[in-house]
Amino acid sequence: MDKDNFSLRLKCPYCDEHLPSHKALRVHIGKDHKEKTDEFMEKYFGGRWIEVDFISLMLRRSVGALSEEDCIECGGCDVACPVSVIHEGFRPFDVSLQLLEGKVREILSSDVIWCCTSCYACGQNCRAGMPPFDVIETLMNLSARTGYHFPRRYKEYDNSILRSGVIQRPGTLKTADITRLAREDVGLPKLPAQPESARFREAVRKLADMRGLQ
Amino acid sequence: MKYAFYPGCLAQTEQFGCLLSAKETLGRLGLELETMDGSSCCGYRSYRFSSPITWHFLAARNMALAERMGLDILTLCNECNLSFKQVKDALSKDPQLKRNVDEALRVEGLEYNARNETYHVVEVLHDEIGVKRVSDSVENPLEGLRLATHPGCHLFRPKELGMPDEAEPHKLDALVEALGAETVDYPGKLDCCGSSMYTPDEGSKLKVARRKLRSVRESGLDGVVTVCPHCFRMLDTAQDESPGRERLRVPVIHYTQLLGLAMGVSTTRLGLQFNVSPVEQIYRL
Repeated sequence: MDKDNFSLRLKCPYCDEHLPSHKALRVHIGKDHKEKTDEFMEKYFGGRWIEVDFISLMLRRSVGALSEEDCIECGGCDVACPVSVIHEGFRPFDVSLQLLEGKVREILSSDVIWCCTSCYACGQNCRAGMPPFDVIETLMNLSARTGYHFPRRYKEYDNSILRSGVIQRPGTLKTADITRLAREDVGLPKLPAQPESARFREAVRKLADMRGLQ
Repeated sequence: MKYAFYPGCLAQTEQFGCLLSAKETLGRLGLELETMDGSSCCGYRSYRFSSPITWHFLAARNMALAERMGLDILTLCNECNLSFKQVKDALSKDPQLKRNVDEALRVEGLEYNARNETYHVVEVLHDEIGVKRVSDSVENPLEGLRLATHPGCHLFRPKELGMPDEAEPHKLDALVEALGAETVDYPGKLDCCGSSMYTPDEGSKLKVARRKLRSVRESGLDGVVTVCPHCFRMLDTAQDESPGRERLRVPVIHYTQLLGLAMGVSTTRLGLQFNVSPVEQIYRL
């Protein structure tokens, strides 16, 4: 289980060639399997290459950290994970193993990583100092940014933050007996002023241009 | 003691009990909470996945606003607290990321120099105000109550970042005991509430919370005390969401609500009417 094995993920899907980076793989496909280029881009990465280059860099970092120490396969992360107890499909240990075997696509095409609650318990219980939570977060990132999966609720949050600064509009007040009340009836404090919309959006747009870099 | 007050999205837009009770009780303990005009979400629950740089920007932006006010941040939310700490740490280690974030901050005339800190309300109550002063503020000791505490993951994990509480969290317990109630350990006390689990299968998420609540009930305790609006929503509001299942009916109360009850504040001023769980079982005992 080392970095060389991880690079298996860069095996060309149309021949036996192994490539050292996504960039090299793309060049190889463009040169040797010209007719497959569109299919390849669409099928594996939704055509977003800047994103993929960035993410592959991040993955290499995470996996680098993961391989430096030898996982002693104690399964401590699974024992600590509050999700794996109730959800059969999710085991942090399995995700780490799959990744080390280079099965990035398999991980992403099942939505199972989104079960991770970022509770960091797996890290606390890891005797080898290579907690799965970092890697899982990177994979969620990869999944969201290459179009595999991004929970609808989070997408709504993203849009709402751009509109009003917060994740959702202040809701109708509900009580245990389902009475509805107006905000001022219960003396709720005023919300802080919203971000000044035009400049806030401009700043976020600026960031969108940098996404490929960071 | 003055802080830039950052309740977090959920307390401001949905879990009003957390917001009302925090303002009421922290005010009585002499804390001045300055509203952060122009603040926004910290980005932890959304942009952290879809665009990490935007997450870093949003968190840095809020820290920059507080820095301009010359104040440290007091937040009610475990996640916002973690988010600010992670971003502060990342920006101090990655100059390129910092440069990009700075560039976006300049659009709004902001600057972030990492001159302030973020504190979670439990930290402020336990370390700054102190258990003794909290205890002195009690008018009606909550004697006879046996409560479970739910510190919530990001109060003490990951420990590398200097979280508000230690790996074996004890601060919330100390604060509850300061009010005259008893705290009792129960199986799964340090487990996640399941709130940030997003899968196509929503039922799993409820299973995590229900497992926890069932453990509280089976331990024969009077209720659960939370300190994070996300945990509060998950345990209180969502506990009976899955139809057709047994109703758990475990009272869930936010710490500042409990503190307010002990201080003798009226239940309406603490927003207890918004708790969906049978919280009256706690205060009518």
